[in-house]
Parts: sequence; C-alpha cells; structure tokens
Amino acid sequence: MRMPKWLGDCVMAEPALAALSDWWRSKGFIERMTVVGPAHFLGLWDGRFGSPLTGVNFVPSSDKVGVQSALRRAEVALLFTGSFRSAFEVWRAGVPRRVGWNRDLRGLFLTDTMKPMLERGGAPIVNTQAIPMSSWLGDGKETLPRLGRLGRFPRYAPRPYGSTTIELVTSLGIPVRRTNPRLQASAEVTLKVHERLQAGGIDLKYPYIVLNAGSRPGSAKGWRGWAELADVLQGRWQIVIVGGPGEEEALREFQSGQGDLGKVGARLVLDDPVLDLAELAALCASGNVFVTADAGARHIATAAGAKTVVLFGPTDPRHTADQLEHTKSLAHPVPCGPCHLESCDAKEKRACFEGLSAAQVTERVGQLGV
Amino acid sequence: MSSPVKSPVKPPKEKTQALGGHLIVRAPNWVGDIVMATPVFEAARQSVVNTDSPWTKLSIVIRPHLAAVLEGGGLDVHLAPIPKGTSERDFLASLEADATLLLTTSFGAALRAFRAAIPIRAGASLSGRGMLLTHRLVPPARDGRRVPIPTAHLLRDLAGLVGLLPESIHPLLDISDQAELRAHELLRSVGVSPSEPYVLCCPGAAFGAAKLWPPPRFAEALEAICKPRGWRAVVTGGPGEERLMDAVAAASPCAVSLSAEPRDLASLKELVRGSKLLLVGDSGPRWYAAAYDTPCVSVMGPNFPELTASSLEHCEVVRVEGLDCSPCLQRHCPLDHHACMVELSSASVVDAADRVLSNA
Repeated sequence: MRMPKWLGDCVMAEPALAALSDWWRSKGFIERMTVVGPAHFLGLWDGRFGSPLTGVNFVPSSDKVGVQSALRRAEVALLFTGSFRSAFEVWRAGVPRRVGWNRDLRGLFLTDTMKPMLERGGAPIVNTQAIPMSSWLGDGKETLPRLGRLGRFPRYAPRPYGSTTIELVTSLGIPVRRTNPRLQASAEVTLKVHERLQAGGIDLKYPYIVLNAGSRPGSAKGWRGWAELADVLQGRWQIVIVGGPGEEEALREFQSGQGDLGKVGARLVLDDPVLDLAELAALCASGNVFVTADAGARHIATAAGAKTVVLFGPTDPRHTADQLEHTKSLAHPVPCGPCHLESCDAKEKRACFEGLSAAQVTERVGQLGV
Repeated sequence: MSSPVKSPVKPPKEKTQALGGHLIVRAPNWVGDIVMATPVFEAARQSVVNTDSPWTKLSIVIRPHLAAVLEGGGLDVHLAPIPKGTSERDFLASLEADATLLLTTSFGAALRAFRAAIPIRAGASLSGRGMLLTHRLVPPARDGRRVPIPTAHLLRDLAGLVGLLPESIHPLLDISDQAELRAHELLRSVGVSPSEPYVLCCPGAAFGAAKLWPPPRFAEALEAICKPRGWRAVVTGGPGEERLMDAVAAASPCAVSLSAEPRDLASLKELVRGSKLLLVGDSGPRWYAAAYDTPCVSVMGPNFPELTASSLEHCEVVRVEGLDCSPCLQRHCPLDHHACMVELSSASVVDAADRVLSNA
C-alpha cells in the first residue's frame, strides 16, 4: 500500500485502507500487509486513533532501505498515489501485480489500471451568485456563473479522493462497507487536550469554536479575515485558535485578543506547542464547529465528528465533495480559479480569498445549527 | 434602374441567459438508479431554496409510473412526470429550461434534450452521445472500455457539472401518510400485523430472467431465516411477477404473498422500512433498503458488483465468484445454464442474512 503525501488525502483514504486490512485479516495474512507513507502521517494508523489497522506493517517513505525491502517481498502493490515516480518505483522493484490509476503515462508501469474520469465541454456551473460572468467578461451579458477556468489537458475530472480510493479497492473485488473516514483520539490524548483547554480558560461545559487560522506566509490558502472572524465569533462563543507546525508565527498575532473581558467568550491560542494530529482530533471531537480553509486539518475534523465550515480559495470543491453532511462550504469564484497553486500568481493577489468576508463565514456557522 | 427594396435586417438575437435559471434533472429509468440519484435531487431542491444558488426553478422529469418513488416529501412540487401521449422532446421544450442534467445514459435522452434546444446539457459521455452534450464526464476506462464504478459515485460527479454538491451518496426517500397507510392495509390483508416482525422478499427483477434466483431457493432461505426467529415472511413484487411471488410463498410455510393485492412503488417503501430484513435479487427494492438502513441481502447474478458497490453498511451482496461467463449483463443467460444463479446456494444467503442482522 502506497499512501499519498497529503494529510487530507491520507484521511480520506481511511475507509478504503480499513476495508483492505479487514479483508487481509479475514484471509489470515494481516502481517503480510505493509503500508508505506509519509512518516508524520503514519501515526494516523498506528493505534492512537482507534484505527483498525493493528498488525499491519508501517514503513515511512523516507526510509529508502525499508521501502525497497518491502517492495522486493511484495506480490501486489496498490498505489493510492498519482505520481509517475511511485509507479516507476514498484515496476523497477519487480512487484508482480501493480495496481493504480493510469494517468501521466503511469500505465506503462502498472498491470491493473484505471484511467481516471475526464471532464469535457464547457466550464462547469458553480453554485453561487456571488459574481455574474458579466463582471468578468465586461460585455454586459448575464449568464450562469461558471468556474473561472478549465482544468489542464487532459482535464481529469475533479472527483472526491476518498471515492476514487474506494473504487480502486472495489475493483480488486474487496467491498468497502464504511465510506466515512473515522478517527478517534484515545481517552488519554483527549484528557490531555481538555486539561490544556481548561488551563487556557475554556469552559468545557459551554460550546467552543475552533479556528484553524494558521497559514504559511505566501500560501494561496491563507485567508486574511481570521482576526476579524475571531472578533465577531468571540462575541458569541469561546474561541480556540489552532495551526500546524511552522504556523506558530501567524498564530501569535491572535494573542492580543486573549483575556479580553469585554467579550462574552474566552479566546485561547494553541501555539506553543501546536497540536499534533491526535490532539487535533480530540479537540475537534469535543468542539462544536471547526472553521478552516480547504486544508488537511479539515479532514481530521470531519473524521473526528466535528461540524465544519470550509473556506475554498484556489481549490475546486469537487475534489473533496464527499461526506458533506456536516459541512458548510464558502467559495468566491474568480476568473483565475480554481488554480490549485500553492502561491498566487494572479494580478489581483488571492482574489478568491479576498472575496470571502467574516460575515459570510459567521452566517455559515449559524447554518450548522450551533 | 430602381434599387431593390431591402427588407429590414434584424440584428442577430444575442443568446444570453438570465442569471437564475430553470434546471431540469432527467431522472433515470430504473427504480434502483432513481433511488441512488435521490441525493442529487435533494441537492437540486436545496439549490432552488438557497438564494446563493444560480438555480431558481427545478423540474425533475421522470417517467410517470416511476414518480411514486420520489413522492411523499419535498420533491413533490418539483416532479414533472412526462404526460402520456406527449413526446419527451416536446415536453422538455415546453418547460423552457436553461439547463438539463441527464442522469440517464442513453443516446436518445441526450438527443431529445438537444432537439428541445436546452442550452446547457450535462451528462455522462456514454452511448456515443458526447457531441450532444455541452458539459460531460467521460467515466473511468481501461483499454478503451468503461470500468464499472458505483453508479451513485457517477451520479454525484455528474451533479457537479451544474454546481450541485450532494451532501452524501446515502439515498433519501420520503413516504407519504397515504402510502404508509396503504402498506399497513396490505400487510393486514394477508394476516400480518404492521408491528409484527417480518422479512420482506422481492424475488422478481424487471431487468430480465437472468437476474432471477430460483423460487425454491428463496423459500429455503426464508424458512431458515424466519423459523428460528419466529418471524413471518411477506413476498411482494412488481406487475407481472405474481406467479414468481406465489411460487416462493407456496414453498415456504412462513411466507404469505401479496400477489392478489394492489401493490405500488410508494407503499413498497413502507413495506421495506417496516421489515426486519429485505431478501431481494439485484433489483430496485435493494435501494429502498439502503435509504432506510434496513438490513438487506441481495442475490446478484449477471451484474458487475462494482456498479452497485455503495451503501453497503447494512447490505451484503451474495454472488457466485469465479465464473468465466460472469458478469455478462445479459437479460437472459446466453449459455442457457444460468450458473450465476443456479449455483448460488440458499445456505450462503442465510449466512449473509445472519451477518447483516447481527450488525443491525
């Protein structure tokens, strides 16, 4: 099993991975299943989250010797990745059966392939009235709002990643019964997080909202309205502000609001140290709403059972359009989007995010019924 | 020489669409596919309620005899059954829609939408109809042939072409009070109280004879499931399946047949919802069970299991593995041995029933 390098993708692949391990276990071969993936995400499956993957071998993808050793012994390689390199690697290692998506010439190295779904025709219509096309085209014509641009050739259709992993596993004759990713932090981690919240002034008897406000400098997924949103929400709820490793600097900007007695709710910024994945899951499971950009933490929150409000900037919502029962999305279509770029190269910097207001996010929070 | 009189030239009419459009969703023509498409219908319904959406009007165009599947809830006001005696093309044209989302896969459906001059036509690029669609998805393929993926996934992805993002792929079905009452009357008419535990059996399949499991096997399975639990079995089916229903009921002492009663697709929803277990072939009622999380065992023959590999939380699909001729997708067994069904034992079905009931 080769896992993807993105946190969100790893979480979305959890049901397929769990079904595969269940099947392998039912055949009595669980010790012959090896999962290769980014070292910092393998913790998702090592038992701290109540994962059913006990007995499975885990090899970090950074451990080149370990990966080569696992590949040499493998009879089947199932690739949840989409890169040319990962397909080439299993072919070169001589794995007899190599299963994965046939995109970007990977089919040359795989034995069981599936060509991804393609999109053809005009730009899809988007579910918003925020910007009429006339304002983009400047010709005064009104038309239905559409995505700003088409995907690059050959236009692979944006599809929920979790569904594609389920299809890949199903194609091997293994049914995937549970399709919702599930992560559950241990009682020990949950207790530790609760203690930290209480020490920071959060009263667990009352609801709190988690803002995933950190963003790397220059990141296209960075929204500049977090501070305003925190001020607006703090008037009604307790606020917990979190971020990932490397985002501590951005989080410190929120410290100024802490302890402001003029607000109804308390504000806690968890920046020193930032939460690890298990702690984040515990925090989300206890919180009422998790507000975030379309980042990996969003999927941790959903899998932990939190309601989420997701702000879409440069990404296409269709890539993650499954398990939306407890999710409210907010997007602002622009002519240059969805670009899926890590940093914005448009003339109007980050126009996709600049069009989202704190008031809109607050409205979405209200729609979740909290 | 006099100059010819010029007729006034009209400027070409600019074809633009007003913001806020009328969306037609063309429902599939199979009961199971319609139920699988219910999350899409619900997303479309919400989009016309939502002021942020580009859609202000929704029409769900459906064959009239299938409208009962969707009746009983919020979709009622949006249902547009094709009137008898009216061609579908004329009906579509009369709706004056801005866009249509085709959840059917036939060439004819796309051609009719094209001839009805609907400006935006979105659907799956199948059956050679890609050129008739303005927005389309080409399903996954292997060696140039379509790879089966769950139909529910494909329907969800198609909805994305017109800006609809269903919340999940779990089917959603409403039941009207009248349908509920009719179902209870049906049960009482054969001596079963609606509060009594019963197994519902639907042995038929509108698709064709290839999907039929022999009635004696159904009867054996019903006996093995119901007898130890003290449950009743109720056998039902569609029009023309009365002999099949009676054959199952006649071979099983615990079973009663609804063959003599007036049955319909709306009351079937309540029959499924109220049952302890649905024992069914690879047919539409299986998806009713998925909508209500009713434990279900589906006996599958000539179909690709991948096509229906969704909503499996409370359902087990039982089939014969390893047959060279399967899946053939034929309505009648081309080899006449019908091995995919004949070789399927009732014991494997009973085992599957025990598993789904223990997880319920």
